[in-house]
Amino acid sequence: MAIDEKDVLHVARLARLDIAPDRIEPMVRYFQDIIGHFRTLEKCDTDGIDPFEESGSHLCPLRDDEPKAWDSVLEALEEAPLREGRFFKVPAIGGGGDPDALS
Amino acid sequence: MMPLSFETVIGLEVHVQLATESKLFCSCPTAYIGSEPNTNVCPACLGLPGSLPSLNRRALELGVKAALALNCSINCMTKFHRKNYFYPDLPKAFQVSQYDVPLAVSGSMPIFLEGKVKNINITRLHLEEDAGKLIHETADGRLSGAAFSLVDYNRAGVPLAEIVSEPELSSPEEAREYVLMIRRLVRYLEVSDGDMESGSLRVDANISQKCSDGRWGSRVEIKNVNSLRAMERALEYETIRQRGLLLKGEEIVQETRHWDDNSGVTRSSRGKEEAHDYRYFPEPDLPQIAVERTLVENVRESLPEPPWKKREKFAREWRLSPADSASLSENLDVAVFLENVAASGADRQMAANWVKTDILRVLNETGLAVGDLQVGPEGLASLLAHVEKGSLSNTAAKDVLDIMLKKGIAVDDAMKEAGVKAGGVSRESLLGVVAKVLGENAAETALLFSGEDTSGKKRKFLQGLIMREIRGQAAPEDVSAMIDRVLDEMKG
Repeated sequence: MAIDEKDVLHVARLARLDIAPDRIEPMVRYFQDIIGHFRTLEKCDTDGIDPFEESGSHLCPLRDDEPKAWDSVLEALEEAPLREGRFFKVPAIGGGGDPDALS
Repeated sequence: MMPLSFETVIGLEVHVQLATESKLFCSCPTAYIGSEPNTNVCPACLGLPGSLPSLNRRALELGVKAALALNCSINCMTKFHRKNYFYPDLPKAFQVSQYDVPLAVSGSMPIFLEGKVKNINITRLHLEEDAGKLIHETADGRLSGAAFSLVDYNRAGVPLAEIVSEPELSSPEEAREYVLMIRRLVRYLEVSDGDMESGSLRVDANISQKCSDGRWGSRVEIKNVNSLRAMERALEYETIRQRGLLLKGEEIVQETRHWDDNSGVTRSSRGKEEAHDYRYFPEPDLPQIAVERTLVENVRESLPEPPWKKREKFAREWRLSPADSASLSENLDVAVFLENVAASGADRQMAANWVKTDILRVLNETGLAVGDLQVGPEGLASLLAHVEKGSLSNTAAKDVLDIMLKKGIAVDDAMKEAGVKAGGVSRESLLGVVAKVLGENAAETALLFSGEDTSGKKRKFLQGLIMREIRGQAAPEDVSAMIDRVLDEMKG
């Protein structure tokens, strides 16, 4: 799959990243390198192996439904770049709510 | 040319918050309503580096419970995926959800509308985590155009079951009945409180139009419907909008639209097609989940009869009216209470009447649950036994029930307290009272005597006076018969 500028800008938009114009071209090359690496991986014979085979055969352990409070919440809040009272504070995206949250 | 006709096609995604004590992937308490912001959070639900998810067994059980009640097949091996999108209500920048192997698939559920039953197929039920809450603010407190948003992650990670229907609903009314049945079901199962107002039940609606000329308009997803009324209005609006476009020969844009409840319109959300690029991939921090057969069987054994079965039973076997069958099957505890009244020997119809009028009234007035009442099903049945035998009139029985409900005493004690005796007044004393009342109300009696009381109003008036005199301790038909007897005697 050939990667071009359009793909890079598309991914940047999804990730809500601004990319300086002079960074676009190198990004295209990084993308191509990464995808090239996967082309190498594709040479492995994976016939008969589930696409999402996991290493080992362990299953997901289940936890009992017992609520426990975490005692370091304030520290986490203090680490936030911006906050207001007990709220984390973030720059508003588009000045409104996410139209696509939790579809 | 034949005028064009349309068929509305609706599919619903219902998100149900599961009634667990702790979150889906961490032990933080789920109580987010009324809690101080960011109190019920931890490294896992804040998405801090190095934290790992740990699946809540209860959430899995509740998901299985809802799925079994919806007649779904459970996938014995299931797994979680990451659904990637960047928004501050999602601290990890992805939502842990399910993708190609959901917890359950292929179910169905009946809905009732205008005397008909329609079966709606359920595509899938999967588990996922809820997002946090954003508050958009400006310096002067206005919401729009805010420079910053405040984030509260108390809700982030609360378990949700998403129930997806096939596109088989054909009107806003059917959609409403479907959501009501889901709500009834999750309440029966105690899987969720199903409260739309507080957001523990949320709906996204997909709607399209099939045109008689063979065109099929693209599907539009409607979000932000926060009440049943909003959902119905949004679907009605969208039906008209889409049909209008098709009539003009225009295309429907496949998109997500937001319901604006104040203006009563749906609006396009920009950039949706890109945001749909969620780049799902398997959650590497959670191995596959084995849904063990013993877990499934234990849950299956705990299932109550679903609301639609109760309703059909009341209608078909008990021969109750459709309205009574519906209202008496609305709440599981009330339905079971009624069944137990009948199981304790009361006539089904009579038990239904008493539960519907007297028990439901008390529940509405007091806000109590049926289990909190001072009168159990056996108590009500023993009272109804008196009514059935004719030894207590309806009026007297209602007084007795009031005392039983207030004082929590048995029917015999309550009757003593109410000053009524089983068997009511003797025929002799009833005769005396009737003769006395008729004598005291000569004008009305004369009209009865001459047959001029064609509307029966005077008879009702006199009967009421007699009933009051005997404190309701005789059946109305006995009183009526006694009036006829006294009138006959007058005629000689």
